[in-house]
Amino acid sequence: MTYDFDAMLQTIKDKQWSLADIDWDAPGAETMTDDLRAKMQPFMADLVWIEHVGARGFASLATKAPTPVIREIYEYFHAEEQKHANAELALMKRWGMLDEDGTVPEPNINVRLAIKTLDTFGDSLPLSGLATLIPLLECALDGALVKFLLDEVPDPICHEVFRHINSDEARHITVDFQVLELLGAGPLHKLLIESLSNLKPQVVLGLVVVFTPLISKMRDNIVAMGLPEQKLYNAVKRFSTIGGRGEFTKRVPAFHVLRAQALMIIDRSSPYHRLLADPLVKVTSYVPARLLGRPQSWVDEVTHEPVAS
Amino acid sequence: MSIFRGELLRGEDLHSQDFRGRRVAVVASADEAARIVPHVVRTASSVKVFQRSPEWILPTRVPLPAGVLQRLAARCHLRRTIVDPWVRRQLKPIGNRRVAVRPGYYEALRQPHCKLYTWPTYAIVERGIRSAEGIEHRVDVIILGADVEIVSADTSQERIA
Repeated sequence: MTYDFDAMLQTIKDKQWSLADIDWDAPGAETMTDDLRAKMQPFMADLVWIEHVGARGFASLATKAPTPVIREIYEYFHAEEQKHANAELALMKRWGMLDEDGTVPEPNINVRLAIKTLDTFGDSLPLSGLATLIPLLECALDGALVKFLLDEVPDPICHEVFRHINSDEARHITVDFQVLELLGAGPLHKLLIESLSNLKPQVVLGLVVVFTPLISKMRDNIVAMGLPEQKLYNAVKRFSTIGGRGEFTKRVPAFHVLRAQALMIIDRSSPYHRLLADPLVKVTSYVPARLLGRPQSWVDEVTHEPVAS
Repeated sequence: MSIFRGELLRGEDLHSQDFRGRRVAVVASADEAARIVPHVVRTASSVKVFQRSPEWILPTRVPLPAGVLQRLAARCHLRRTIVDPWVRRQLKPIGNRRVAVRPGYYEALRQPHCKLYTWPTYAIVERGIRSAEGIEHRVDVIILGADVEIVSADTSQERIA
């Protein structure tokens, strides 16, 4: 049975919410202790940037959507990921993690590399590659990080915000995998030709040098905060489980490549960590940010203000 | 929350309107926005352009046959006029091959008090317009393009397609 993308688009429109719906001054901010604040600040900064980079990913997907309805869905997802970044920044502001001017924290080098890759190659990546990569990142990073946050922070406003965010994310992941089903159900020759174009050096390099250390860096951040990395691994496993359930997703070669990578990520004894991911985290930490140049102006769009005049 | 307190315009002859000192939001297709914005930007204190369905735009008629050559000319015009690569990307059509002749649109967008957004807008509220990136944009005047459809209006707010 074909998936009803029109109905999903209508649901997305009906479920819109705004930062202005949230009472950012409500009691609960005092539950953020000094210790927790110090521990959470870098984590929250990473989370804001990951949502923001996710938004840029959907902007690229929208340019190559297979139908006008899916394009419109991706346009909403682009905005919603930006909304999540804005809402998380507003939480940082509420918890006293930003300076008086509310300056957005600087992204770490792995996020900067992801921004650079998306700015340079995002719009030319083939659909099947990007459409597979986005759900992997959403499952791995968003899922694990958000779950961790809810376990750690008792502030009721945080829980209210993440009820909205999780509801959005559930729709993102549903659509992500339904698009893979749609692509997988297409003619085999088209899939193969497109998959071959995924082997372009910039795609392979982007995956290896940018996204491999990005996920590992997140794992390091989670472990540094005293949390079991199993949480991240459970989230990555979801990518393989949900995709594996699909009737046609299995026909998408990019899914198999990224699933193999996902399975290596969750196997801590795999040489993938020792020989590739961990050394890449180390190597990329030496890359000077100025070498990457000024990112495009979309990075300036994130704001903690619910209203703009 | 009640219905928009400011002025909601749609399909009116905007050339007789003076927007002096007022904050204006324009929600329209590129073709309509390109007709509306150059006029509004002259007097408004700020203009937020929520553009949908980008199109190739030329500032004047060019002696070129319709099709590839006109699109190429429009692409050159975009590249020459809009310096910011992200804004340029937002103005570039996806799959839409139509070329419209609309003078002054890109120049208007370059004004410091005019800003382009491509976020979907979903509700008109008491003090402005809400878009899907979660922000309420407070304005005094909202100008809706003819193709912007109000799909429902509940007691608290008008929702727009």
